[in-house]
Amino acid sequence: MSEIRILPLGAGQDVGRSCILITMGGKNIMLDCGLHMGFHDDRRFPDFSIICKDGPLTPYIHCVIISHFHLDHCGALPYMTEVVGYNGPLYMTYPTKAICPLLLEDFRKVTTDKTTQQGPYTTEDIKNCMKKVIPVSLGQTVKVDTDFEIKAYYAGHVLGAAMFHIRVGQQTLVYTGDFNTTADRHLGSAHIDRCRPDVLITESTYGSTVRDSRRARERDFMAKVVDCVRTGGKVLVPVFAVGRAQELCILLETYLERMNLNVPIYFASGLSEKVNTYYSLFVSWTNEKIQSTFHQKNIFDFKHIKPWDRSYVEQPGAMIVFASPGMLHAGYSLHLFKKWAPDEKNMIIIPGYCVANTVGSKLLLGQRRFLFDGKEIEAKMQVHYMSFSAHADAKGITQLIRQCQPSNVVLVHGEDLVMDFLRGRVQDELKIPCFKPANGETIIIQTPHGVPVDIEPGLVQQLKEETADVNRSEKRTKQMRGTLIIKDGRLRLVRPSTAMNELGLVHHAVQFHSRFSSTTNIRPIQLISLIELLERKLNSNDNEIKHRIILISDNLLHIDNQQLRVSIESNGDIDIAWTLNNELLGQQVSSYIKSFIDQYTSTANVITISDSAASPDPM
Amino acid sequence: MRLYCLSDDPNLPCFILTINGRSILLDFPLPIDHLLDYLPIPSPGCLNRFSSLPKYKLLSYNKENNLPQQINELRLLHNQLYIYSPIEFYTLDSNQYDFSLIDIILISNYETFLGLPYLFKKYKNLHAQIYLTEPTYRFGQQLMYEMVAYVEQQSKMIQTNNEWKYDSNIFDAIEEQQKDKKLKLFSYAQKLMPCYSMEYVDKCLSHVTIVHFNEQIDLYSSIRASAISSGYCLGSCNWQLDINVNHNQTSKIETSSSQSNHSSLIYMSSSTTLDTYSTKFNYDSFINCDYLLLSNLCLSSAIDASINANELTIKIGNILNDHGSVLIPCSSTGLVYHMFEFLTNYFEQTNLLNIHMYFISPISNANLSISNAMSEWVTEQRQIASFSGTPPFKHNELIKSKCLITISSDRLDDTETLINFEQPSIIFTGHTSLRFGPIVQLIEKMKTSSSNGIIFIDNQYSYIDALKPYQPINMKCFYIPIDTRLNFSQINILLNDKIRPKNLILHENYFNDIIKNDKINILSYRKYDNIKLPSINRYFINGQLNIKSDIKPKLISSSSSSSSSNLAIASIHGHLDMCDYVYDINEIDNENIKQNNFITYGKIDIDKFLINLSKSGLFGLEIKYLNEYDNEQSNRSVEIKYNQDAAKIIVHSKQTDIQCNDPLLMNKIRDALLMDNIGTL
Ligand SMILES: [Zn+2]
Repeated sequence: MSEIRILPLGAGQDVGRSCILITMGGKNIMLDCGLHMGFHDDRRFPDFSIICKDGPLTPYIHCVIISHFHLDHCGALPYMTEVVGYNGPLYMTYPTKAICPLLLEDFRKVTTDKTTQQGPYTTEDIKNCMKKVIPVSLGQTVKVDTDFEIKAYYAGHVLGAAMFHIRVGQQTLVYTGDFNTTADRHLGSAHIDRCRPDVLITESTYGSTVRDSRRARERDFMAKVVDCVRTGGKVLVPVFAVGRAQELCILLETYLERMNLNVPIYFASGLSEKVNTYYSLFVSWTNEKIQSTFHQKNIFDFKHIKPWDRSYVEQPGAMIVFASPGMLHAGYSLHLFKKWAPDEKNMIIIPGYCVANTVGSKLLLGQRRFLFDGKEIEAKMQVHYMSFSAHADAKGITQLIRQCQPSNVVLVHGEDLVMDFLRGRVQDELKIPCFKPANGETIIIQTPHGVPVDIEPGLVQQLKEETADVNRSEKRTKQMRGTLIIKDGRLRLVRPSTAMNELGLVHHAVQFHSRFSSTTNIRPIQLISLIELLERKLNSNDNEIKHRIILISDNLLHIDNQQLRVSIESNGDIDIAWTLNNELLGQQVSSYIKSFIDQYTSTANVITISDSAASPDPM
Repeated sequence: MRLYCLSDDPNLPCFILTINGRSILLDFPLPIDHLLDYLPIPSPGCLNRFSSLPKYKLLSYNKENNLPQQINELRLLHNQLYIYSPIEFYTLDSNQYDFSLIDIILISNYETFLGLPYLFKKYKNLHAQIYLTEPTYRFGQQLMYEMVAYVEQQSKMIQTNNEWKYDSNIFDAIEEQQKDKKLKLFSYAQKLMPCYSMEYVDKCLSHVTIVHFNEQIDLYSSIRASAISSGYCLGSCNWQLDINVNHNQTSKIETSSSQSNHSSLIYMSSSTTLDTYSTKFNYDSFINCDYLLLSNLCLSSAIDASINANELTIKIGNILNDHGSVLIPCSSTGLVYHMFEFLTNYFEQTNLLNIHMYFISPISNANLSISNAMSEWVTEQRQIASFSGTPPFKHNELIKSKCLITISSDRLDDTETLINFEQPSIIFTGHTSLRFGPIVQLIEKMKTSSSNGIIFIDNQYSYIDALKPYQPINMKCFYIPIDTRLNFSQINILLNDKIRPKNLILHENYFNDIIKNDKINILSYRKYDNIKLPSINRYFINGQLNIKSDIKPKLISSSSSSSSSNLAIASIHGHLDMCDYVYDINEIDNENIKQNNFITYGKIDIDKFLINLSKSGLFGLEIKYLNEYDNEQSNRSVEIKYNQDAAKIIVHSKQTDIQCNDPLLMNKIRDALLMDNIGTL
């Protein structure tokens, strides 16, 4: 019995540090290689020592797949490939390959100690790591190895986010990465075929919530922003530089013109404005509407949103600032938060998920007093949380499971309690076994599959001919006998005769005979008189398969194409011969003939065998 | 499997392939070979000097026969007859075939599907899915828009009616009068249709499914199609059809051996091995394919695109140095992208400064932005640019530095824009037939100066015929075709040394130039041929073995010399069920239900047999060896008798006969014979 093993190194009953190790058909595959935003020590990276205590990972991992550019999915990649060591194939989509290094570099800058230059990895590491990446397109079937292929499906979520369908031999698995089943202002919705994988590994971030409509959320967001800026407040929106940032910028641009609001809007991120150009280079990854109009208007060319400058922080009056990163754990957003938090006129709107331990997460949990570099800051500003997170909610996740029709579901990238809720739903409503392995816990899923075999066309043809004139139910019961030839790991099912020919085996016929001497006969028995008897005896029962009885000559009779022969020899002896596998038929016929002869001999004087004309003509 | 060939021009490929009862239309290009029969018509706002040309006079006109005296739609110029009306088109579909029966349409590149809106207009019940790549879709859509826009402009310039061709009296009279000087177009004049409208472009495109290179598309349960990059232009592909493939997703089986169980057909259209700007030509999966349908080779095999490209730069340099302007008739997409960069490089190298390249078309801006959004469809080198946030083409830079100026206005009038061309300039515009589009008035303007030049890089039309209505012209004229498609020497190498298809299907015009090889079966076709493709023996059928118990294979020491490797065999009893083109073999694990039906092979080990018989209680056997002349012990025949004549067994090397009238005794003998003795299958 084949099996698939799944071991989360991260994202097991947790959000952050996504890294899932799977083993199927003898291949070890790493899905994502992320970092945990909530930690600043070794715990931010997956524990690669589980794979191998020491030395490079290349011999142990057959391929690495990155679902999208968010750091909790790719942030540990340069560390893994360059510091720990991995040179094997590494796949991500085109936009992910383009945008990922920007975020990695930003992270490196933020976390590298200014004085000691100690950091997780270097700029050079990022470059070398990205060189190893093989870009994939949506839908394209990528052959990783013999009998090992992957295919990317559209996941929404962020530009270039993909779900991956993995096939090793007959085993298949789908990993969703992060996905969104509802289209938004710049991305489409996730889509997957009804591919019936053995296992679906799905994210479950919002697995216990059902969100309101996007329109309502957008209206709410704009109302809050407008309220705040009308009173001269500053609105801080912590976002990641790519992803929700573009979504909210499009929203703001569209509304601003309509509302005639004259408030400066800034975009503060460590990344250059270049980020936006990626959206126009990979337009096919945006939503339908943008795709069909981009050759007329580039929606990512923002008119009202200006790049941030450090000096603006002291600028009086209302403003709206998008600042990275999104979880307030470092960088611009944290800096601005420290500055603006004490003023109750100001407002912070957190539009996305915040990983545990980050300032964002603490703020959302109600904490208002923060200690930064020994100084306590009290957050008096209005705090709002509004999920613009591009993750599927409970409804979306079930919808995807329904679309995909997996045999097993494995939950990752979600909080433990959320997973419990979702697992209940999957098992009870969808009736699909569902698992939620913890980090470091291996689960084994059995995948019953037949063995692929090459069938000789003649075998199928032969069976077709044999069952050409029988009805459906008889066809079903018709047995196939074949010979399996196992050679060089390849299985072939052929007719036994083909196997014999191919293997140079010589048929050894086994033939059985019953012989009745005719010494007591006055007149020799004529075969034609036996036919009526045999027809009656063998073919009278309606349910049984009929035997074909054919008179070949005056002294030779065949049943079922020479399976059995009755012949009268020159001395008058009757020889009944049948081949192996026809023992039952042979013995039946023998006993019929024997009793016939007995009767014939005893009444020989009475019976005249002139009524042969009455017997049916077999020809 | 049948192939219905709809076109007489291998560069205008169009086929209907029927496989397993499904009809697949391969490409549907728009024929434009008749356009030179028309007079050029300039854009609105320009002087139309062709309007004053003498109308065609019907000599047979008289008061009785009701014929018109002259025909407005036919004009004479340089003693040659031209049609004076907006361009009309014909299509390749034939009445022999009901096109609404088509299930699938596969498109090779944006040049080969411009006729498709007509098909959706004509056949209301056509619901076929069109499969094409994203660039093919986007550029094709733009090219259709451009065509519609150009013809709309023409209709604004001239009003005509079609009486001359639809009134058979008039048409017959014209044909009679022209005798041997008939226009080529006359033979299908009644089939011509006005250009399709945007409505039908949109209707047609609503059937589109976008695919990516190497995406495996399951057409029907047994056919899988993949678009494989052909290198010719952005998104151009060759189609690979795998037939009788096992792609069933529930069964999750890939072929278990390198020997494939399906047959494959490659439909090869415009392909190039040259390094251009698009993803390179990939033919790895075509090797040893069963069928290769070849079309769209280079038009003139003598052309070497790279030599001509150098020639082109020299000619352009000369004209510019002579203070002239260069006019290049070209398509609004494709080669131009490459040309802009190629020429800019050349100008830099040769210190030609402040050259302005004009790109004029209603779709010039759209095409430039689309090309820059196609980061996944360009060469690896250009992809590197995309990964660092730079568009794959340099258009934007060139536009910023004023090297490239796009005029997307579909209307250039005599008074304004034309005069404002900054010199020195190179103007790229269309249409390549020189019959419509901005090129018409540009030729009229530029032809008077001998320092100007027109360079034909497109080889679809005879440039001499194309220029005829504009004569006399003073400007220089060069024909430097750049056709990157495979030429015969390239395709011959590819076919014989690399791909080696089992069957090659090509137009009869290609037949003589293809090097024959006894391993390749060549089928040539002509228009309206309906070829039955030779069937390919299938070596294997996909199956899936479902076994609950362990099978116990017997190792066979292979007696045939060819195989040295280990080999094992096992007998399988089961039911065979076909499910989505995969045979499921479900083994019967109940020994009692198994129908005994085995084959015996090998030789009887007499000693073992005798021991087995004794074990079964058969004592006092009489044994007699027959065939004394054969010394080899193993080939000896033996006669064994038990209990007088109660049973007689004769063992030969290939057959054993058991004669016995007692069923129970017979069964005992049989079991003794088969037990650990001869092999069974
Ligand atoms: Zn994410």
